[in-house]
Amino acid sequence: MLPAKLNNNQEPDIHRHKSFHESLCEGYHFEVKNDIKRMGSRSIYYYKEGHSLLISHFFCSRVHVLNLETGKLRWFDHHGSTVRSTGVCNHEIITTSWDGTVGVTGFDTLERRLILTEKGMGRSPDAAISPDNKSVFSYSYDSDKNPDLTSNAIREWNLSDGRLKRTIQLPGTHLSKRRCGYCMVYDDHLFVVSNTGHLHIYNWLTGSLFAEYFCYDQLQSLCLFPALNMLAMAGSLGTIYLCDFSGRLILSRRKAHLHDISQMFVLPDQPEIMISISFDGTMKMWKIPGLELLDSAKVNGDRLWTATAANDLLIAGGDETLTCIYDIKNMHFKLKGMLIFSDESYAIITNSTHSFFTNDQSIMQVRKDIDGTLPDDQLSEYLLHTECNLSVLKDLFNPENNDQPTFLSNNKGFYQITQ
Amino acid sequence: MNTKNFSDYYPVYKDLSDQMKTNTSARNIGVTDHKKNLLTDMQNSETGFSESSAMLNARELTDTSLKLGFSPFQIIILLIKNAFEGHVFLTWQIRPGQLFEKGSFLFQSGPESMIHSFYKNFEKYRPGLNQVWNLLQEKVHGITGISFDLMVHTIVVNNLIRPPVSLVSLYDIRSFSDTLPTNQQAMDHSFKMVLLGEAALAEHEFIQRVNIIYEEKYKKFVHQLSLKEGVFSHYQRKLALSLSPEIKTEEELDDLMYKKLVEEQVNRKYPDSDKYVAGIQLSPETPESTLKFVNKTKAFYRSVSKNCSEIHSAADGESCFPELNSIFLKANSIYNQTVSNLSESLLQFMRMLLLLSEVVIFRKSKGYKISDNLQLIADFNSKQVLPDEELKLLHRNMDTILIDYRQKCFTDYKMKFVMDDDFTDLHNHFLQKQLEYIDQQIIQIQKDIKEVLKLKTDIPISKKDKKQ
Repeated sequence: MLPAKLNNNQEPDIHRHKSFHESLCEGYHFEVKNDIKRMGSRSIYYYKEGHSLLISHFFCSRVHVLNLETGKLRWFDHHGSTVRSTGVCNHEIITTSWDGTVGVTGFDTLERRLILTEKGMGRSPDAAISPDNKSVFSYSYDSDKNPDLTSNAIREWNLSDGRLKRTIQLPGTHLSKRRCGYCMVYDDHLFVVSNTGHLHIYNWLTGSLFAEYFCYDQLQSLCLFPALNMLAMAGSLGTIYLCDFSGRLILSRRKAHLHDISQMFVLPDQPEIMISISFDGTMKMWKIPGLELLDSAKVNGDRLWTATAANDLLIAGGDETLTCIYDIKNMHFKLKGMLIFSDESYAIITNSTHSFFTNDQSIMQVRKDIDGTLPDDQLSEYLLHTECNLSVLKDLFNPENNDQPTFLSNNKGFYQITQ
Repeated sequence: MNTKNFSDYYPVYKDLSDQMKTNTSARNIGVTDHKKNLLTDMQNSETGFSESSAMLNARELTDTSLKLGFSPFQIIILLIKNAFEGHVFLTWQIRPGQLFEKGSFLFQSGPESMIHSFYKNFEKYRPGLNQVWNLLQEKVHGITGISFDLMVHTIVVNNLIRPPVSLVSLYDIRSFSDTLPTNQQAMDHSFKMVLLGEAALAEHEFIQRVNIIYEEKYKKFVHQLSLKEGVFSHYQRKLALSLSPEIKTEEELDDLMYKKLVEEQVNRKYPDSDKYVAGIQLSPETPESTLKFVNKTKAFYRSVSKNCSEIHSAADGESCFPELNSIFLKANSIYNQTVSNLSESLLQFMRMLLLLSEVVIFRKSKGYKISDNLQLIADFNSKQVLPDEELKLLHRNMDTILIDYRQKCFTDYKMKFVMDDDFTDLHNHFLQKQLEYIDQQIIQIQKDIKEVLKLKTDIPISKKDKKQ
């Protein structure tokens, strides 16, 4: 078989020759050591301006900030408990936590500027930012903190000075087996769904209620399609409800997942494509308005809690200790790699497990493919050191290039010495 | 890990020693008896610094400097340098003599600029400096009405800490009049830029040093691999060209290769990289903040060039002055690098500044005359305030530049084999394997080329056969 052939344009189409290091690592694969503590993902957010991922974890107050260009990992531990959601506004990180506070932290300095809370504020699963970037709306399970209160609440905080501007007590009884809720803002509309089964739409400027809808489901996720004059909501039954933007008319409903739908969102550059993730361990890609299923992927056996889109990639995580990275540019899920976090370390391993990058090589080990044994210490260390390459992270998340062959071809090879 | 050829820091004891020598020669050409006795006393004193790297406390240094005839401005620089040397000793137990020999960058498991560390902790030293300034004002007449803060700021942002203080002997301290309006925000921004510049410079120097040491340590393989990489590239290209439809035979292929090679040589403007162009090139929309650094770099480039003049003026200058030749080539390489944004221009400026410090210290140490008009104080009481967004962008871009450079040079990879001697033999073993692997690949690619050409000559025959 020839190493080269003519392509369709009658131009040379050269097969890539393996680099020395690719051949060196043939027959081995790389993995995170079994005894390393791994942290599942509770919330993942891609911050485009800083080309960084913000990740919070289970049973842990730490928020990691991973720079996808430089590979630098930073973190802060400002909250007293699990951080449930992360986002960025005005180059500041907005976090909500089970400790009943909303934190505002400088993205560059990671110094906390504001702690937004008051006495009656319960665990906060989510926050939304006003379109003018001046206010943050926190959702909190106040009923959970004080059982005399049956209602959860939305609070509007002034982002410049942290002042509480308004509290909206949500109608209905929120004391149920499972607490959940979510809010979003669009124009002057504040959309809220809760485990009561209610969708409420407020005018956030005046606090007045525009509309209310009720369904027998513990609603926990919401997705808006203003251009289509539609919204989608979902909850514990795994059903997606498509509703008109006024919140008064259900247009269609579809059983989409086996268990709770924990998050739904629209792809940033494709407003007609929606992603849903579920506790059934799958994520699905839908075309709106017909709710046509484009693709589905089983991420892992456990609950999926969070996902975010970064250019042509989708990063999803949950109870499982692996955070998976999928290429979605061709409207289907193609696994590209996995991210693993452990306190102050992280590793990204490509799908083939033959390339990786980590900020701490001591968390990694190498195994022989053939029998799963570990090579001797010095050879292991040599292989780990040789193969650890920042390009694995950098090229994967490069918006112009996330094809595996490209970053492998840029890997250390023939041209390592004379640079 | 140290292969640095040139010192980038001139310590206080050397400045004092130089001044003493100057005064001694002045004595020989006729100074007063009083001063003669003073100099003799100092040479015999316990703090005799002429040939040692002794450290003085601030009061001693002030008194000694006054006795030696330094200007108040030079004394303030000496005091800052002295505080720096104290910081270095307390932090890393490095004495001024070692600082002079090994330079102001630490190269251990990672890069560290001692000057950057000192500036980061500068506020700790400021009260002490203020006290000595008050003392100095009592001892020297005519230095009232001076803004001490502005003076210290100017010394820091113009990086006067590295070169010998004799270079600023003519600078008038009254330039720092306390009646001058200042802009604290602009001063804060300049200080942040200095911090960033020093940190970036340390990283850049580190990457370069890892390259140099790696090449030195694995010299045999680096050279061979470099040659074989060239051969392999040649055949890769040949294989690509062999696929051109018009190429049927080896002769045609060789002709095409030759033609392409000539075309490439003709079209190639500069040999090293397309990043390099003649002199600093800027678009008309270049922001003022970038232009400021570009202009300072130009001025420093001229100063470095002037201080390397022997390589042009002396017969066989390049061989007689190899150090100056090396500095001059490096200056050109830095100067010719394109800069398109503030971070690139800041890094370029810092590299040129370091080179200027190295060349003047080298000349001073060798007793060569230093070219005048160095324009060391290029940034005086600037009121330019960089928007916060631009400052953040500067940090981000600088990170990106350095990470890219680090990646391009495989610094993280090479570092282990540079620093961990346990891996030297194993790395040598795999480098040998790598050489053998490239040899095999070259043989394989030669076969592939032959196969391609053979296939091309076979195809028409088979087509012909089919027709028949």
